Amino acid sequence: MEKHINDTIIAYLNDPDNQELAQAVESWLNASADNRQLFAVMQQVWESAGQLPQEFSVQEGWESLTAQLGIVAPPPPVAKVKSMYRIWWRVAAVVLPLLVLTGAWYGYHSAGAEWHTFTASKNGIDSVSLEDGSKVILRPGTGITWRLGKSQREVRMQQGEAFLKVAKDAKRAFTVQLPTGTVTVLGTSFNIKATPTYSDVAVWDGRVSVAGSKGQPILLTAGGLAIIDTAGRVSQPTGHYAYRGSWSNRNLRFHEKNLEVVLRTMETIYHIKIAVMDAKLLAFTVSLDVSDVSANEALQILSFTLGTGMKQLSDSTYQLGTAKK
Amino acid sequence: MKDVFPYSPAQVTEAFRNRDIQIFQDLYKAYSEELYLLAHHWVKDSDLAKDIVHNLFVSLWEKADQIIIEGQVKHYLFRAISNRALNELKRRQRHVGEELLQFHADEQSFHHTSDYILFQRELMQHLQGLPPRCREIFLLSRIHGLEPAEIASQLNISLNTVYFQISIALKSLRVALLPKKNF
Repeated sequence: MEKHINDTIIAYLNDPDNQELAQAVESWLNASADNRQLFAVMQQVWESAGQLPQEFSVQEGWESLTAQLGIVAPPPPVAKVKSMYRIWWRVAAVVLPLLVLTGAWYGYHSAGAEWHTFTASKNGIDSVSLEDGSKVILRPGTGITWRLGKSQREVRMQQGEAFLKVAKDAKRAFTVQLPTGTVTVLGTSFNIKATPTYSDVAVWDGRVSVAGSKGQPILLTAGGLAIIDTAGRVSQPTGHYAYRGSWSNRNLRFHEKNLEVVLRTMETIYHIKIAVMDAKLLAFTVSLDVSDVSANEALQILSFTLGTGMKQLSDSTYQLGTAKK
Repeated sequence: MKDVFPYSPAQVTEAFRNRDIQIFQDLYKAYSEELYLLAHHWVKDSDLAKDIVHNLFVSLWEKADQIIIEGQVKHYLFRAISNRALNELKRRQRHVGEELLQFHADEQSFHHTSDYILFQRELMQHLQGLPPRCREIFLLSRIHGLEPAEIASQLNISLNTVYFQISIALKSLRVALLPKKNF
């Protein structure tokens, strides 16, 4: 009996508009004050639980915070081992002066500079202007930290995708520290995609140097792409990849790219869906370089280039080509 | 259950001045979960709530030398997170609830909301103590909003099992959270 009424209550809590369940619960509630009290508490727990957010890990949150702020949490207290004292003093005698010198050098080059942080909201592309005139456009949820010192400009990025337009400053190199590599530039625009195990850099214009933790750095020019793998090795596939930055500025720059790649990129940039009505079109490669155009205009140019038609079906759906009869 | 944060507002202010990482860590561990729940209470978005908490602590660390905490540390943090939630809602042109506006103006509203957050925190912590399968089914039901039939299908178990596990979870939670009631 208890199981039956428990199931009925849970079914009712899940579906309060169900008249049959409501009547069954109602008659049970009318049977005693205890039932009413029990139900009130169950309902309170049920509704409160329904208001809960997803789980929160304090430990993960703390690790993410310290990683972004570049601070090292003190280790948990450990028992001291007496016999190690002398060894540690000897180590300290060598290491401490080195640390002091390193700190002094580092302090000079980053004097007066503080770390700043910015995270794009989860719901849209966002941008931040740095104090030197550089601009960073970020995909939803991507975060960066930066510090602009007297002789260097440093950015750190752990995960996400960002397009950087770096202001020219010959006296201060601009570096982006990625999980397994570093990008160094003086003034240029480029796109970075970063994950803890893979990063890539595509240059829009200018030149950048990409170094992994292993091997020689690679110098990239406009259209070039460098991939940093999990081991910190850098490789450079052939081809033109400037289009990788198109999402940030609506500048469509494709050089002999397969139509499929062009259409998928446009879908991402404009948040639209494009249906291809004639499969033969997908065999074409496309070169395109247009700036600041709407989705409709871009597809008109594309359809003209391909010698076919296009149609806008709704605010966010288009079709390219004509279905074969 | 509740983490103890033993430092006074003056000690925290001083710790910020000295960039004391240990106290900063203690502060995070003691309050981040409640701040997350409060932020979620205002913005109704788990990811955004996490971001707001993260950015509050980033800001506290970066502006450590300018921060002066007067009144209770918890009150300071609750007001700071609520301000951030309010700004975020305005920035996104989303509706700002009456309760959030009251929270700023009215001490009683502050205490009412604080009690609610404390209850949610205890609920969340008791959920952690449920048997894994029972917890999973309850979370799918209440946090992810799945119907019992959908849970049964997703986990490839019978509908009876789903009802049974939810009733176990409900009983365990009501006994743990409301011990003074007679059941």
